[in-house]
This record gives sequence, C-alpha cells and structure tokens, in this order.
Amino acid sequence: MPSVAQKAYSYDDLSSYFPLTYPIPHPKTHPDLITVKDLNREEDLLRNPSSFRAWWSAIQSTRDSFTAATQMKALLGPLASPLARRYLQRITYLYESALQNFPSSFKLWKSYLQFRMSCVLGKPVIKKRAGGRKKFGPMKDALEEEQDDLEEWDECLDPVIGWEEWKSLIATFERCLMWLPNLPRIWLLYISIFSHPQCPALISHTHTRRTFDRALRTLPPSLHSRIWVRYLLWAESKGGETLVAVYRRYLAIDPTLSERYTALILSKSLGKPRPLEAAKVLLSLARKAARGEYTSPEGKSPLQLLNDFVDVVENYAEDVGMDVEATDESNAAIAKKDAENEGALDAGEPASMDGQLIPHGRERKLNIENIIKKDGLDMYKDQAGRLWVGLATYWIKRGDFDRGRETFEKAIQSVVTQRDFNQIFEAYSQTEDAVINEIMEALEDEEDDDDKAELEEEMDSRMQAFEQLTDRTAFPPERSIETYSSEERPTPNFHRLFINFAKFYEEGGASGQAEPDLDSARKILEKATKVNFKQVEDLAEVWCEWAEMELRHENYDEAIRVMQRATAVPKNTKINYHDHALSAQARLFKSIKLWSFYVDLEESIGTVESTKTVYDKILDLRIANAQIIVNYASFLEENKYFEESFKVYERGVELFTFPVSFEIWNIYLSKFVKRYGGTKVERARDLFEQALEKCPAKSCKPIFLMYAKLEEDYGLAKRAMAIYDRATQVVTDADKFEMFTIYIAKATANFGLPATRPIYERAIEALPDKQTAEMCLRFAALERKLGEIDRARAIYAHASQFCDPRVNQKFWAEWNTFEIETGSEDTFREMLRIRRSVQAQFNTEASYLAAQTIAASEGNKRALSEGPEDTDPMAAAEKQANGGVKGPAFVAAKKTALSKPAEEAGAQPAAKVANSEEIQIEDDEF
Amino acid sequence: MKRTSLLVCYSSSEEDEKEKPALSFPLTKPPTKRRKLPPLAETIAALPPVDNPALHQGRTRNVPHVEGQYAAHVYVSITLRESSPLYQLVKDVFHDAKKQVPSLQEISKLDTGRYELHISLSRPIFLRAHQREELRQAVRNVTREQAPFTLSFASFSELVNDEKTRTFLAIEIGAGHNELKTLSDALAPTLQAIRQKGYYEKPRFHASIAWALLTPSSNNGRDSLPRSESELSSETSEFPTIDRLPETLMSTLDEKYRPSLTSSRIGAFEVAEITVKIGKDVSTFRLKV
Repeated sequence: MPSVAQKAYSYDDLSSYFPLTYPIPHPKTHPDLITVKDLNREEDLLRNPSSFRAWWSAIQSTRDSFTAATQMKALLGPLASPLARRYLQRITYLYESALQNFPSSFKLWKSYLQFRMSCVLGKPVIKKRAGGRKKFGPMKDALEEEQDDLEEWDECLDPVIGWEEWKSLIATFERCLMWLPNLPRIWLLYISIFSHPQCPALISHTHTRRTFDRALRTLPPSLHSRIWVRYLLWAESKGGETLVAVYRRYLAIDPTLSERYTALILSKSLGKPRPLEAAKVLLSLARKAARGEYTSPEGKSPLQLLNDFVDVVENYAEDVGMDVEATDESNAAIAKKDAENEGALDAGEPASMDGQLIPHGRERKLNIENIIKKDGLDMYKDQAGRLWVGLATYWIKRGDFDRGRETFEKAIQSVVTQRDFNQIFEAYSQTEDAVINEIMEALEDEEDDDDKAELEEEMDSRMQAFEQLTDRTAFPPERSIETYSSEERPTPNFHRLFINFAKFYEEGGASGQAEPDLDSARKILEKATKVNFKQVEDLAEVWCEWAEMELRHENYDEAIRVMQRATAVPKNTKINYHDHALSAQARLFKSIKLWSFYVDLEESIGTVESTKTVYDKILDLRIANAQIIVNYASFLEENKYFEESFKVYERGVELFTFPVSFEIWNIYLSKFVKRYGGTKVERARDLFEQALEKCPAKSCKPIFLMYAKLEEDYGLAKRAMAIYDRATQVVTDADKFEMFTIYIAKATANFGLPATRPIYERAIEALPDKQTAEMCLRFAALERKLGEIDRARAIYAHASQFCDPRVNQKFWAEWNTFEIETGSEDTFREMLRIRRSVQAQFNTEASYLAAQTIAASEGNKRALSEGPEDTDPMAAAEKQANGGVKGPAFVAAKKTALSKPAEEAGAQPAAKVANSEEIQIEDDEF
Repeated sequence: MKRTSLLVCYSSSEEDEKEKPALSFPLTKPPTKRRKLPPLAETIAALPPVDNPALHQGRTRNVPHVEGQYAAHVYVSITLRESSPLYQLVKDVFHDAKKQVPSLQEISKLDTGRYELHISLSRPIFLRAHQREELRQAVRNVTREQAPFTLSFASFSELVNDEKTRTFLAIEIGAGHNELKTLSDALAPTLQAIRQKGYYEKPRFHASIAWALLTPSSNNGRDSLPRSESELSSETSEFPTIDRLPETLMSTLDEKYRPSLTSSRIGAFEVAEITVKIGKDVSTFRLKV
C-alpha cells in the first residue's frame, strides 16, 4: 500500500485521461456508457427516435441521477467517496498500531487527530491573517480576535448519519488526553471541534461544558486565558443560563468583561434578558469606577457607566426597581440607618451598601431613587440632568405619574447648570404633553358622562400645570455661580473650571447680559493660581488664560505683568520638573508651555530687548526645545541681529544631541551660508566640520551636500570633490548610491568624463551588490562612450556575477545589445557562456523564489497571451491528429475511474514543470 | 387655552422686578444699566482690608491693596535737622499757607526727630516679590554711573496728583535738575521691562511740603475713577476740601520766601545717595564716589 501512495503520477499518465468527450463517446467505444437499467430507455429511444419528449426526459433523468450521486457528497462530506472511506480505515489502522508503540508521542497523536478531524469535520478553510499573532492582550480584544480566527470547515460528515463516526472521533480525543493530559495544543484542537457549526447536539452542550471545565482544571493557570476565550465565545453562542453561568465564573477572576456581559444579558437574541442583574453589575461598575478601582476597557467614565445603568433602569423599570411603597419603606430604613451611623461611618457607607446590593443571585429589586441620589446626584452635581430625567422616566414607565412629576419638580428646583435645566425642562414638558394628549384621546372615546366629567376635570388641572411649566423656561443664573463657588473637587479638568468661571465674570454671565466684572475674574484666576493642580501644565494654562484675558481687554502691560509673575524664577533652579512630590507652583517656572506663551507675548507686544531677555532666561533654565532655539534665532535674524542669531544656533547645537540637533544644524548652516556667502568661507568650513563631527551616518547626507555646494560656489572645486568623496564613505548604504551619482555628476561637470573612472571603481567596490550592477551599467556606458569597448566588456563581465539572469533581465538585455552592436561572434558566445555559468550559480532556492516573484509580476501578461493557445481543446485535438500520438489519449480515457485527489496531486507538479520550462524558453530566445 | 398668571417664585424675584420696568419703559431707562453679577464667595476672594479714609485725614487709596504686591518708590531724601534754616523756612511757609488754606495738611516725615524732604525719581511702582531685588539692582547700577551733585531749590508751586484727588504745595528744584533727570531716565528701561510707568515726560522735580484734599467736582474731566461719586462724598464729607490752592498763595509765598530759599546758605544740598523704599523696606545706595 505505501508503494501506491508513493507512486508519482507522471504527466503523461494523467493527461492521457483526456479528452473524455472527443471522439464523442459511444456505447460501441465505451461499453460502460449504458447499464442494464438503461436498456428500457434505450429501447424506447430506438423505437421513437423522432420524439423530442422522449430524448428530453432521458437526458433529464440521467442528469437527476448524477445530481443524486453528488448529493451524497453533501451528506458524507469528506467520506463521500469509497476510496476515502477505505483510506480512512487504512490510515487509522496504521496510526493506531503506531500508537501502540509510541503512546505518548505528541507528534504522532497530533497528526493522527488532525487527520481524523479532517475526515469528520471537513477540510479546514485556511484564512489569511495579516501579520503574526498578537500576544494575548486584554480579554476584550482577545475575544474579538478569536472571533475572527475561529476555524471554518468545508463540507463535513452529516452529524446524524455519521453520528457514530463523530462519537468515535471524540473518543479518540479522550484517549489521547489520557496519555497527554497537559498539552494545551491537544486541548485547543479538541475544543475547536465544539465550535463546528454542525457539531452534534449530543456533544455540543453538556459534554462541551464539562470538557472546558476539565481543560481549566488540568491546564496551569497561565494557559487559562486561551481556554477562556473559547469558553466564553462558546457560551455566547449558546446564550441563556449557560452564558450567565460561564460569564459569572469568568467575571469572578477578571471583571473587565463586565460591560460586555451586561450587553449580552440584555440582548434579546440570547434568551430572556436579565435587566436586574445587568443593572446591578453596571451599578457596581459605576461605583468601583468612581472609587478608582475599575477602569472601563471601553474607556467609559464613572458617570457614563452610571448613565448606562440609568438606561437599563428606564427600559426595564418594572423588572429592576421597587414600586413606590417599597421605595418609601426602603428610603425610611436608609434614613434611619444614616441617622444611626451619622459621623461614625460616613465614607465607608456606600461600600457596605455595595456589598449588600450587588450579589448576583439575589432577586431583590433596587431602590432606584436612593441609588440615583446617592451615586449620581450627590456626586455629579453639575451633570445631573440625565440622571434626573432617568429617575423621572423610571417612575413614569412604572405608571407612577405623580411620583414622576414630583421628581421633575425636585429636579428643576435643584439643578445647578443651564444645560441640565434645559434637559430636564424638555423632558418634563414632553411628558406633560404626552399625558395631556392621552387624556384628550380618552375624552373623545369616553361615552359615560360621569367618567367624562372626571376626565375633563383632570384635563383642566393638567393643562394648568402644563402652562405653569411653560412659563418658567428661564434658568436662575445665580445657581451656576453657587456651583462654581462651592466646587472643591479636584477633577482632571479642575483648572478649566476656574478658567470658565473667570470667563463667566469676564463676559458678564453665561449669556453676557450682566455687567462684566473683570476684577472678580482676576480674583478667581488669582485663587486658581494658588491651587496645587496635579499637572503643572494645568497651572500654566491658568496663567496663560489670565494673560489672554488681559489681552482681550487690551491691558497689554497687565498681560506682561501677569506672565512675569507666572514665570518668576526661584533662587534654586535645580528643581526637577517631573518631581511630583513638589507642588505645581514650585515647578511652574520650568513649564515650557508657559514660557513659550510668554515669549510669544513679548515678541508681539514687547521690545526686542525684553524678548531677548525672556529667550535667554529660557535657555538658562535649560528647558528650551529645538523649536524655541529656531524661533529665537529667526527672531534675532528678523531684527537684524545676525551674529547673535548665530550664537543662539551655537547654543542650540550644544544643548541638543543628534538627531534633534540635526534640524538646528541644518537651519544654522543654510542661514550662515545665505548670510555670508563667500565672505566667511573659513568659518563656514569650520562649522560644517563641527556639524559633521558628531553627525550620525544616516542624517549627514544633507549636510555634506550643503558643504560641497558651499565649496563649489565660493571655494575650490577640488575641495568640493574631496567632500563628495568623504560623503560617499560616510553616509549609510541606503544613501551611498545617490551620493555616488551626485559625485559622478559633479565630477563630470568639473573635470570631464575620464575623471569619473576612479569614482566608478570606488563605487563598485563600496556599493552593495544590487546597486553595483546598476553602477556597472553606467560605468560600462561611460567606457563605451569613451570608446573603450574592451574595458566596458570587462565591466559587464565583472557585474554579471551580481545579476541573476532571471531577476536582473535589464542588465543582460543591455549587455546583449552591447555585444550585438560592438562585439564579435566570439565575444557574444563568451557572454552566453558567462550567463549560463551565472545562472547555474544562482540556481538556489532563494534566487528561484526571487525569480518567481519577478515572473509573477512581469510574466503575467505573457502567460495570459500564451495560455489560451495551450488550453484550446480543438487545437490540442488537431495536434494529436497530426502528430499521430493518438494511442495514449484513448487508453487513458478508460482510466477515468482514478480517484480525484490523486489526479490533482499529479496535475500540479506537471503544471509546475510546464511553468519553469516556459521561463527557460524565454531565456533562450534572447 | 386660558393662561393662568400664577408665577412660580424664584429666589431671584428682585431681578424680575428690576427687569420688568425696563421692558415696559424702554425709553426712560437707558439699556446700558445692566444687572451686576453677584459678588464672589469669600472662599475664592478674601475681602480686601477695608480702607477707612477717616483714619488718614480723608485720603483714599489710589491703587487698591493687592495681596503679594509691594508698592515701591525711588527718591532722593534730604534730612533736615530742626536747627537747620531750611527746616525753619519750611515750617514758616506751612504756617503762612495754613492761614490762607485751613484744610492744608503738613507732610509729616518727622518720625525720629528728623525731618525729611523727598524728591521723587519715580512714580509709585508696584512690584511682585521676585521683582524687588531686580529693582534694587537697577538702582544700584544707576547710582554707579552718577557722581554726587549739588541740588538747590528754586520756587514754590502747586502740583496735583494724577488722580486729581489731592493738591500739593511743593518746592521745585533749581540746580541739579539735569542730574535728577539723568537718574530717572536711567531707571526707565528697568521700569519698562517690568511694565511700570516711568517718570513724567517733562519732570518737575520737587519736594512736597503740604497737601489738601480736592473737591471731587473739580475732576470733571475724568469720570473714569473707580469709585462712584456718592460713595466718595459720603466718606470724605467730614473733611474739608478745596477746589485748588488760591492763586495768590504762590505769589505771596514766592515774594516772601524766595530770596532766602534760593540763597546758597539755605537751599543748596549735596546729593550723595538715592533711597529705594519697597513696602516698608528702605534701602539707600551711594552715588559713585
């Protein structure tokens, strides 16, 4: 048997099967065209050869029977052909026998299991993945990635018909795990069966869950995440109780998926939504986030999480919250408890509530009112609109309109910002509007007079209330100030609060209707400058805003004075800007943001002297960045202080190292050359030398070019050449070719073509192989131009060693034309000889691959134009007829029963041979 | 729909009342009169110390006190002993003037038994803590460039402060004006750098010997003062004010005292140092020897 498998099908063997339909098959030539069952039909047809219907039905019925045969393939999948079934048995027998001897060989087991899987699950579809597999990041990303990476299969063995085979596969895996229990690869392979869409129900539920659990128990914790990813995805696909149970277990070890979990248990596609649990999870997340114990992987803020919670509460009011009585009762209980705990446990209180409310299994509903008040309204005073609306909507959704209205009223009384007020007002009036509309509709339908009167009465009172409401659209502005004034909470944007508060006074209220009060604005900013912000940048921004404010009111002197105060330099300047132990104020003088602003201010409204002083201070503090240096220098230049501006550049290049200093050098040198031109060549040379001294190879090219340009324009051509020469030695390989090209061009311009010979020679030595070839071509062209044919030929011969004829066709083409134009038969033959030997030299795997890629890109068109010629069956038939090689074609036709995979296997090498030949032919044709 | 006139009462009902009439009689009330924003809470801005002009003979602050800001002043100080003739002369002048203008107040620099005349080289300068040393350094540099010089008085004159709240009886400088000008000009760049006003374009160097409050009505030309008129008048009403010093006063004083003032025995001094007063800190710098 193995000998059969090993036997390679030759091209002739396989191609001899075809064509099948030429000459047209006939029972005379192919006795098996008609079976015994077909005899009746054939007789019918013989009797009524003129009946179209008889022919048509004969064709259709035969085609139907062919389709039926292929349908079997759909059911049996990979095991559809008898050959496949036989080979499965054979191979299984061999593997099992081998495993008797090597029961713990991972290699054997893995290959066996994969083979068995492919026979049952079908052929895995291999997906193309961009880039390598990433390390396992946070579970959220891992889940998404894994979702994309899930295996897919071709047609599988039908799970009902092939149930026994499926079972046997599972059994094999179990046997394998007995031998190799702690290899994650095996487990993952096993687990991948369960995500097969056709996986039999008997396997894909309880058995899967238990297998996952076993895997988790068996494998070390470091590998758990890989199992969990699959486990969670599987649970998501099952939904319902399974989902909840699995997720709860996972969340116990890693809460980062909580948000995903809430989304899942709320989605209606996965069983009955569980709003109560979702609300509890979200609430606990919001609380944890507010305490800083939880960071949302989605990047949500505590308030956003709380708003999510409110969304759930709104949508599932009945399921989540308590009714009015229970709420009142609970409120009273909490108030009592608060009174008892007063003073003792103020801070710890929410935490203990947390523990009480959150346990998952509890069906106890939530006291929404209390939660929104404690966790929302008390903490987010200035963003309360959404929360209030949520609470009111909750009551209205529950049908407690009075309570809802009460909530709205309370909200309107207590919100502190215009935005919240508007939000609540809008929701309130919409609600009222809806209620009135409903009553009006009811009124129209109502027949009974008593009820009608009652409704009318209610309608009147509602209308009255609604009108009252619409009368008070204005928000009392004092409230916003209260908010600002009482604000003491250091939030990330605390400084913005002060700045906006100051702006509030500066502009005269939010809408600018009151009298602007600049003094108060200044006082607020003054206060802000004393706050120890977390970030020095925040403090710097406060100062900058202050100066901006003075500028807006055209108090230019005051603006400068403010910045002078801000940038006051203390005696001890050795303070570390990043030392968070110090206050922001102590580190402020090192804030480059502040200084940049100040220096801009001085540049625009100060004098040159004052601006210079500020720039110098920045440099003295050693906080300048390259931009500041460049700005300073160009400022001085604009004011005609050329020498001083150069001094600044000097300082800049001293302060910074490469690569930052490169930019400064670049500007410095070009400015210097522009300013002095040829008058201070010595000094310029000195500068260039300094710059090049420390410049790393990868960035020195522009400096060299500038240097050489200087020498060309104002110095000596010889020096310029020396510089180019130096440059070609120093620059990185990537730049070398270009450098040589420029060098050669300049040398040609200055000293004529012959002078470039030594440069070419050096270039050929120094450049990497690929570019050498290019350089050689140019060199050869030069020699030819100079009439040195022999030299040119020698150069071609030298370069040929770097040029694979398959890859570098341009080179060989050029040499070819060169020989045709200038050479003799001998030299041409010599060229061909060299080419053959070079090709032999390049006959390695790597160069073959390179040639393939080239051929793929370039040869596509050619292949297309030649392809049809070969595949045209008519042409082939003619060829056969003429060539007289009929025999094999007909002999082969009898062998059509040969299995398909074998055919394919044979066909591919044949095609490959043809391909490589194609290239060969082209080469010879040159 | 019938409208009910029931209004919900906000805590800010006063504003509604204020704005109502403004809406109904837009012609009678100018629209520029806008509502003020409420004052800041004390947590943000501690109230500045209340100045009571009554404690300072009715003087009011021209520049409000600011926390962390130092008032500074550069001047030449001339110390007079009680026995010195100029001291006697100044006393006599004051008494004579007081007879004509009873509300005149003496500039009392007589703390330690010494009487000092100050000749300003700068306006009041307002410094931040870190700028104090800078100013001292600037004055030090200035004094190094200037040799001691002689100074003499020339005439009496009336000078009014920038805010037109007080008028001063002063003796102007005769000899030494150029040197003083050099000194004050040399200070200007430093003051410019810290964005403070330099001394006057055409300075009249002087030593003030007495002052009187001006009536607020006399500052008709400048109503941009921060204080409202009613406030000022109510606070200072107990102090007599004048429109200006009588014109005859100068001429009589000149007539009577000028000869002795300009005599070299009385009115000539050697200036050898400059004084800088920052807050309550007084430091002196000697001129180049």
